[in-house]
Amino acid sequence: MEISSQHFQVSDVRGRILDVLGLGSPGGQRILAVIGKGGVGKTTTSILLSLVASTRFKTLIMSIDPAMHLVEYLGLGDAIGRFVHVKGNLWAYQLDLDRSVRDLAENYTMHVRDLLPSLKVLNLDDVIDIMKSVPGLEEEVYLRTVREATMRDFEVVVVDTPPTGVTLRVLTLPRLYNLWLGKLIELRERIVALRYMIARTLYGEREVRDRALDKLYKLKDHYSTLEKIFTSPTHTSYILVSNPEPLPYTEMAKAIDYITRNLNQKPKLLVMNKVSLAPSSGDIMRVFCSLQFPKMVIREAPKPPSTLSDVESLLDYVDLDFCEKSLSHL
Amino acid sequence: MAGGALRRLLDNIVSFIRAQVEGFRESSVSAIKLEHNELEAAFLNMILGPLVGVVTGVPPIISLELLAELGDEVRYLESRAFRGEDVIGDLFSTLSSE
Repeated sequence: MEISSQHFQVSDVRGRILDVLGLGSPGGQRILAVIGKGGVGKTTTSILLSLVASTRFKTLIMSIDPAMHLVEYLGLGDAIGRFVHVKGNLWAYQLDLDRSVRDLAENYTMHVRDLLPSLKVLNLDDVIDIMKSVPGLEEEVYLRTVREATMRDFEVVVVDTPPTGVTLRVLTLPRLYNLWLGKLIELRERIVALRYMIARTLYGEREVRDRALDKLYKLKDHYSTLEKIFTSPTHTSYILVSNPEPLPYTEMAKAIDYITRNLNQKPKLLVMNKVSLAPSSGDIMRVFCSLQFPKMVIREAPKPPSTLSDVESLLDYVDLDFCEKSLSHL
Repeated sequence: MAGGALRRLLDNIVSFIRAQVEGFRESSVSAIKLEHNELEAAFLNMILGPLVGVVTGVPPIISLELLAELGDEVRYLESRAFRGEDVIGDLFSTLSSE
């Protein structure tokens, strides 16, 4: 059988991408969070990396981006909100944000319905309406979706994220929640201790159960797990995507800074997508190439990708040595 | 005769001590109850506040998660609101031993 030089080149690129992503050898479950400004090609990059990862591992590409571009690329149709087998080792999941937010709000509403008379007395009956638009509901859906994926048996989970600002906020929410949960647990434990003292003195009771305290412990456990996942370099890798244009690049630079400061992580890979050799992009490429992180360039393809096979063929346009080869020409 | 008087005296002393202990117990329990009620009210305000626009810092999602587990406490707050208890007055009465 004759192997073409192009085939050899592509499999070589696949191997190198796996190495750069730290997927050269088997390990525990790995999450690759693909982050970037809207429209830079996060979904394209996510699909490309998932295809590469699935050559060796059971891989899930999960899109939590409300733009839902994954649906178009993979032709998911009405399979939104479900885990769908794509091919070989590759699975896909597209989050339906609106429906999930609605379901979550309804769930909260259902749990407090029997409290409504009391809430009315306290002028809190608006709570039911507020639940549908309470700040943090969307972010909670993102966190739950990622957590659910990590509880399945995928070896690699590639997450196509919402635009940068939202994603970075979501990634640091578990830490914020944990800080508050710590304070609330402290206060609740004091309340329960006092209740125990009263019960023991008056009635000789030995145990006082408190559902709120149990719930606080459960929440702390949940968000601590998420915080550990997001801040552990062995569990989560951050891939930042940009185009050779000023605004996307500025956002990439801010994201690098944010991840380094708030998550104590370094980007695993910087991806510059749709790179042409136009002189106008020279300055940005020069700055990009000076960054001390692994880099991957995807040159602009003649036809913009719109299907799975289009994205697969982008491997021909991937260059992991662009900066080393082209820096002198920039 | 003398033994009977002594017996009555001892019984009275025992009753006196018992009454004192009971008094101490009641007074300490009422102080603990007061602290418990105030902490419970503070906790509920922290949890319910974010749902009606009062910024307490607690993320609203945590409030929503907890609300369903606080049924008894919310009903207690409701009865307290009905009774119109003067919390600050209670506190000062207790502090000045009234």
